[in-house]
Amino acid sequence: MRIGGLPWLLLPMTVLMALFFGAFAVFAFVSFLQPASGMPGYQGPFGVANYVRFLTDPTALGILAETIVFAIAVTIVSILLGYPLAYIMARSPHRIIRSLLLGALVLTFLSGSINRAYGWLILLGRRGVVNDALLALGLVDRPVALVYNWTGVFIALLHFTLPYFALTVFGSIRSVPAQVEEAARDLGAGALTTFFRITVPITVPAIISGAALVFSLAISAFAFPLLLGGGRVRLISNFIYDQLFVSFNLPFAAASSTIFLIVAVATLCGFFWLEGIATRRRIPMGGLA
Amino acid sequence: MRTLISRTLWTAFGATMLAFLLAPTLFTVLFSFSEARYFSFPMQSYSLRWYTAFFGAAKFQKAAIETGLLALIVTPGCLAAALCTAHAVARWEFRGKRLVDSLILSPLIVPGVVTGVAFLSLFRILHQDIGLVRMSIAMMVVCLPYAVRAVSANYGGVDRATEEAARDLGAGPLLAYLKVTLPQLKPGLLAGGVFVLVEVIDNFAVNVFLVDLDSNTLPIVAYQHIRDFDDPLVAVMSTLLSALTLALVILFNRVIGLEKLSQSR
Repeated sequence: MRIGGLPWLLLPMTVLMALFFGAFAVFAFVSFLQPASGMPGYQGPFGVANYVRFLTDPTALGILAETIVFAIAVTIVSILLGYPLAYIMARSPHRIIRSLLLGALVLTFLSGSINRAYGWLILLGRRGVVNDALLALGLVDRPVALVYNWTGVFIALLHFTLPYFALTVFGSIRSVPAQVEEAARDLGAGALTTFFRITVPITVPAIISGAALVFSLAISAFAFPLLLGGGRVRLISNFIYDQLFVSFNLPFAAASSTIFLIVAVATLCGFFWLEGIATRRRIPMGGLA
Repeated sequence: MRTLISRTLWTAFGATMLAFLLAPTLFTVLFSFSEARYFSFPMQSYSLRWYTAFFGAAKFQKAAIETGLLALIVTPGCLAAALCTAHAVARWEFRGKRLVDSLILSPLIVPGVVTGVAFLSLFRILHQDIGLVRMSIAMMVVCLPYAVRAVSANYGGVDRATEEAARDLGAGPLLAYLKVTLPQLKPGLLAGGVFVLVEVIDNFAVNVFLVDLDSNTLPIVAYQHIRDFDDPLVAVMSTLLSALTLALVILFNRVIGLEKLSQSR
């Protein structure tokens, strides 16, 4: 059953992973070269020039910083809206409300990014539904610019990340036994106190892992800024794409991607570290879940 | 009184969220039946002219065939690789098992654009110029974590006593696997299959780096169309894809139940 001590069933996975890591090895190698003038291809000298260029370029660093700040903002709003949403899905006494919300979340989370960006273009454009409604209600006198700026990208990205967050914490809220909440209520705590002192603290690890998921999706955003940013909003993924398709500089794109990957993995490790602390802290609190 | 206020607030919040989640899809569907080229609401008149235009457009036809081929290659390939991996991890003891676990999940952490650039560098060195080949390999890697997770989650629930019973009754290991084990893995395979299919059809960030001149997929053609034209053709494409997704969700709900979905991803 085994060839050379390794289970043969792992062969397909090994081939795929070898291609994946092989791609990263080639890509890391290319990031130390320079584009060959005129022809597609690369040439020496072998060195860190591309990395130095990224780290000393105020535009590139600015885009990286903006991407991180933007992703943090999306993460915070996803938590603030996604948690109550998951709470309704887990605790609503009406089956219809629960399945309607769950169905809408699943459907949203399975629909493609280009489709959704397009939907937001229709809704948020100068002559879109939202502007028509605002004008009709007399809230504004002229159409508000909702797309081709940060607002549009933010709304579309939030719409994309919200289902991931809500579905992550939904399972965790459901696993909090209803009796624990009832016990708190019987002991005199109000509904809000019970929510903030019992339900939320128990689900902190799920909140952190949901936040990590949202953050990593938000810093990788590519299609939304491309379509809804109108060239004004550029996140790091768009910067890398431009290096390749506008400047035709694969080595510099590879170096920028490497720096981006390091930042992304580092922040993700930070989230996992927090999640570890939260999980360890939670157990002495009555040994729940 | 206070419960009434809080109940009203919760309901209002839930309704707002529902509208927020569904609005882009609903208005896209509405726009696809428009008579006019530009969107206005409420719409003046309805027609199927953009559907006729969509099915007659050569670039969308080609992209639909390309995307379909890609899905036909990647979905079974990825599920087969996931079945092998999940079986090895669930049933066999070997050194480096935990390493295998975390290796499989690694494509999930890497941003799409970075994966795209990495595969582009690899295929340039290998002189692989065919878009379909490049995308098939990249999509198999990107989708493997979803498929393995879905199938692995299902392995814990497989009843090993029935497998042994089949063996005692004279079935060989392969027959026992095909007749007894595999049917029990159906929910995991279906969940994994839905994720892989949806990812392959919708992926933009990785595939945009790997297409060749005649191998655009649907999202890439849609992006180019939105950039260059202003008409509801992409609304038609979105509507058709949403209908496909809805059908998959309903099928999934029938067979396994939607609540399981959030657990396997």
